[in-house]
Amino acid sequence: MAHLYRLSIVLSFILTVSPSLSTNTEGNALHALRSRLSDPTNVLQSWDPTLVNPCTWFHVTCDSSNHVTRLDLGNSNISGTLGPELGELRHLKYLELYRNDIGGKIPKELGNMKNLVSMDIYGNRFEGEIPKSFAMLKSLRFLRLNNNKLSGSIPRELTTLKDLKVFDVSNNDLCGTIPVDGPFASFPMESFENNKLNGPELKGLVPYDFGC
Amino acid sequence: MWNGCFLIPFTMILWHSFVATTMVADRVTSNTIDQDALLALKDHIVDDPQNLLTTNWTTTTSVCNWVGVTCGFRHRRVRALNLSHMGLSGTIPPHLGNLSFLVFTSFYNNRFSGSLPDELANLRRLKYFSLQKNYFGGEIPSWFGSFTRLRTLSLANNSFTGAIPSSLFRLSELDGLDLSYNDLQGHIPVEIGKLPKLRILYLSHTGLSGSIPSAVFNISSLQQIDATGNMFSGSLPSANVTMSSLRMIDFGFNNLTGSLPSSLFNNLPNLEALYLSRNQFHGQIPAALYGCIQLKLLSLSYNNFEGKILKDIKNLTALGSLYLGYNKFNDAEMLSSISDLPSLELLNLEKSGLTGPIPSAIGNLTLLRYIGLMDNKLTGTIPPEIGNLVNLEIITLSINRIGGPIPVRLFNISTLRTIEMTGNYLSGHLPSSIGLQLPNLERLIVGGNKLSGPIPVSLSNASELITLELSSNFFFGLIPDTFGDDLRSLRYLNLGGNNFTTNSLSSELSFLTSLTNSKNLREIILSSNPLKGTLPISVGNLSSSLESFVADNCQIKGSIPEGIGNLSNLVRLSLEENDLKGTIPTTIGKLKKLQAIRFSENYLEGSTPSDLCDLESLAYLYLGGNKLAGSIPSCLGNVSSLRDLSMGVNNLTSTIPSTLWRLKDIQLLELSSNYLSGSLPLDISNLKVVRYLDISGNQLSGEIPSSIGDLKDLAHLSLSNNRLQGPISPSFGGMVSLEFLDLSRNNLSGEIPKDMEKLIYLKYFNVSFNGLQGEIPGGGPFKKFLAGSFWGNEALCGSPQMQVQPCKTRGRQRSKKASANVFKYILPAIGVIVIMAMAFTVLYVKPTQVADARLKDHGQYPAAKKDCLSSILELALQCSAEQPEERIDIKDVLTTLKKIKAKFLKDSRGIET
Repeated sequence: MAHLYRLSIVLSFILTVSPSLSTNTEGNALHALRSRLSDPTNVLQSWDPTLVNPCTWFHVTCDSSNHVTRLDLGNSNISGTLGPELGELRHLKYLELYRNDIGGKIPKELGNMKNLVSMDIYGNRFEGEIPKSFAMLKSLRFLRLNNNKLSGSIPRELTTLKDLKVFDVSNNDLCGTIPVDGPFASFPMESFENNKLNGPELKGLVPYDFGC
Repeated sequence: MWNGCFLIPFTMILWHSFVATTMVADRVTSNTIDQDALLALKDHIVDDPQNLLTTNWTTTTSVCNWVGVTCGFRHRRVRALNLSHMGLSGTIPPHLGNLSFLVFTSFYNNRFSGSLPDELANLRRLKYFSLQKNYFGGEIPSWFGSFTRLRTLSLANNSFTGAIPSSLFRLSELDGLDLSYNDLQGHIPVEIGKLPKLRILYLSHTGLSGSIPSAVFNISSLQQIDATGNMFSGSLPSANVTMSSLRMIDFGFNNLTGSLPSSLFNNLPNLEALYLSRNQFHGQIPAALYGCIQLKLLSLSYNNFEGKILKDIKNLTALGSLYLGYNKFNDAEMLSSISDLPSLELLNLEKSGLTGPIPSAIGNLTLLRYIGLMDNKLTGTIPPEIGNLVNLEIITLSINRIGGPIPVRLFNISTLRTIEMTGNYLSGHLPSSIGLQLPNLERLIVGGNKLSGPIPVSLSNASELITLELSSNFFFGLIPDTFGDDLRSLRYLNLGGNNFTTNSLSSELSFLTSLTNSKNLREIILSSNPLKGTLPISVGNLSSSLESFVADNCQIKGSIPEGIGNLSNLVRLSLEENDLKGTIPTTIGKLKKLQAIRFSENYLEGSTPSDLCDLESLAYLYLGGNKLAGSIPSCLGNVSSLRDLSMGVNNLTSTIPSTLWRLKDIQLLELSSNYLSGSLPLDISNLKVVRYLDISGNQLSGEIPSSIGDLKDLAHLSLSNNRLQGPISPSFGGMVSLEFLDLSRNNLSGEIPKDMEKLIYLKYFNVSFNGLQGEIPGGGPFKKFLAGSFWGNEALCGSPQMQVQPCKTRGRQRSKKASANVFKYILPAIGVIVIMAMAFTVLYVKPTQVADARLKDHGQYPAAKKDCLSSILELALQCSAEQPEERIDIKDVLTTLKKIKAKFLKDSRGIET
């Protein structure tokens, strides 16, 4: 029967021919994000991929060079997962995805967003480990990962983030000990509540992933 | 065009052979085993929308006459079961395994689910088995390996899980294997190389990973391999490969790496399609590839290929489709080399590092239907030879550096559907007859150039036109009243940033009326044109599919028509910087899908309609710079979707509704320059994610709540020009994101909290014209601030650069903690002791020097004594002030005591003399 085999893959090539102006990698990255998300309240309706850049899209903010600097999708009723392409937003400063229903792992590629000041992805269903690559986010001031399902230990690499002002991983499933170096010296204990953490690390006495 | 339906002849022959067997007259003997098995299947059907089995599969007729059933000639046993396209839902019962004569089985395109019963393992005569397009799940059963005659196995488009069982690779007769679109795991087993007759291998979108084993390239019978959309990694095998039958390789959308090995392409004489796009291949394209002279399709886009395209590419005389875009080629001659390909129809070289001008040789590619050269660094002008491409349908040259006019000859190519040339330096006019010459035109996208002249009148005839994008050019002249009369297909219209105008100063924008004929209109953008007219009432008759209406800065007059409330799918409505008068129509509350309203900078008056609160998707509300009066509707606090609320520079009165502080997701709140009164509530800290808060220029009173310090994301805060009083709370130090802070022109008192030295990102700071006192902090951001930040606070003290009085105390230059302790505990103690001692000395003990004798006599100089004692007590009070910072320095204590003594002596002497 003819139906077993697709008539021709050429059809799929024709589809790629359809013109689109989204040569902008950042627009592509956002559009890829949209395709991973379910958006019952049409918050992403204005994300028209045929535009040259995404700067007129709602909940997206650009700088004067049309680079995306903010993504504000907090409490927007969206669900789905994040993909590696989000890391293409190299100029992003604020990644605000808090209080949605986004699951899956946090892509390690988010560590490529070198200009990131704030990452608020609290109140979702993220699982897996906190990527070590976050240690590359040298401008990071806010890292709020609380109220997810994250597991594993708190990467020691994060102690090198000297600008980090607010760090919250409470209400996850993290294990091991709490770092005490760098900015971690000043974070309140509430930031670590409701995990399987073993308290502050005792340097040289307990391995940081003790109990993991 | 290349075609991949190689299997059709085989499957058709197989099918016809079954049909032929049924030509012989039925025998009376019906097989109850087969009947029972099929009735069991019927029992397991839960939905039969066409009632095919319900009405036809009954015991009144032989199973051999049942729909979808074909029996064999000799044994009258069921040999073929074809239930494809019947829309059936249900599961497969174990009884089906009793159809032991079954050779052909297809459940293609139904809604069957569940797993496959093990009893099916008995169907050992099967040659063709397809479950494609159903909802079957579970692991792929290993008993498929016992179907020794199986030629075709398709489990595609189901939800099978787990690994591919290695038993499949015992099927020595297997010709086609399709496992695409399942949820498998694991690798392609190396045993796949044991399938001696395999021609078709489809493994696309299966979730498989690992490397593509070199064994695949040992299957000399293989004609097609499709492994697209998986997670395959590693590089392609570099051993010598000879696959004379191979016609198609599709490894697109994987994570394959490495360079393309020459040895792979030396002996693929019949390769027609190579699809490797969306991987991470790098290196040069090997010359051996140009020896695959049957190639019709070559797609290498979205990789990291580099270097040059060899002239040898011209050997690919059959090549119809070439996709090389999104690589790192560095080849100025690439377009010239490619211009020698005589069969080329589709060419994509987007973002391929192309430089220099487009060669005129491009005109050789007369079969070309699509050319994509977007996002390169092409310069020069478009060669007129482009007009030779008489079959051209799509041309995209956007985002290059091409200048000069668009060649007139291009507009003679009547097949053209899409012209995309945004972001270049193109100049000149569009030909006036464009709409007539290009009857198939769907997309004319030429924004961001230097094009000029009027809108070609003939464009109104382009009835196929979907997108018209002329923005940011130098077009001018009237937009004809009849502009949209025949633009029946129009969806996107962007005329923004030109010099378009309309008929006369007083008239309405009639061309909008003509656009009511465009029933599919989704977007109208007119911004930054001196249109000058009024919005016609017919705006309400525009397509209900309209999602965006944007006409900022167009000098539009009159009022916003009520009919705008008919545009029920509107998502964005923007009319900023116009001359609109009248009120905001209440009908706007009917636009339930609105996400953005921007009416700023007009002359709108009246009150803000509470109908706006009905817009439950509204995220952006900009009404600033109008003449709106009355109060802010308190129901706006219920619009939880609001992100930006801007109503500054209006005539708003009353208090800020307490409900507004419920908007916990609000990011911008701009209410400046109104007549708002009342005080700021503690609830201000609910605005956890607010980053811009400006309520300056109002009549706010009371204290700034200390809870404001919880706003950790706040970057811009202005409360200037109000009547706020009380201190600046030390909690201000908690607003760690603060970059701009203006508290000037209020009645604030107390000191500038030293905690604010923690605000290291603060760039602008203004507390001028308040009643602040004490020392200006010197740490953190305060090192950068100038005198103007502190003007008009009489009691502030600090360094001379700040143009304030010097502080009396200098002890504070010591470390903060140490000096705090000194102030708090030690100094008061010392002070009190010293003062008491001095007083005791002065008044009663050891009368030394001049006054002593006279002091003994309580009757003498009562006024001088009283004065002296009260001065000493006052000093003692200063030493024991509640705030350590307010206590007087010990050196000053001694100085003051000496002065008191001197005064006492002077007073008593004066009385004496």
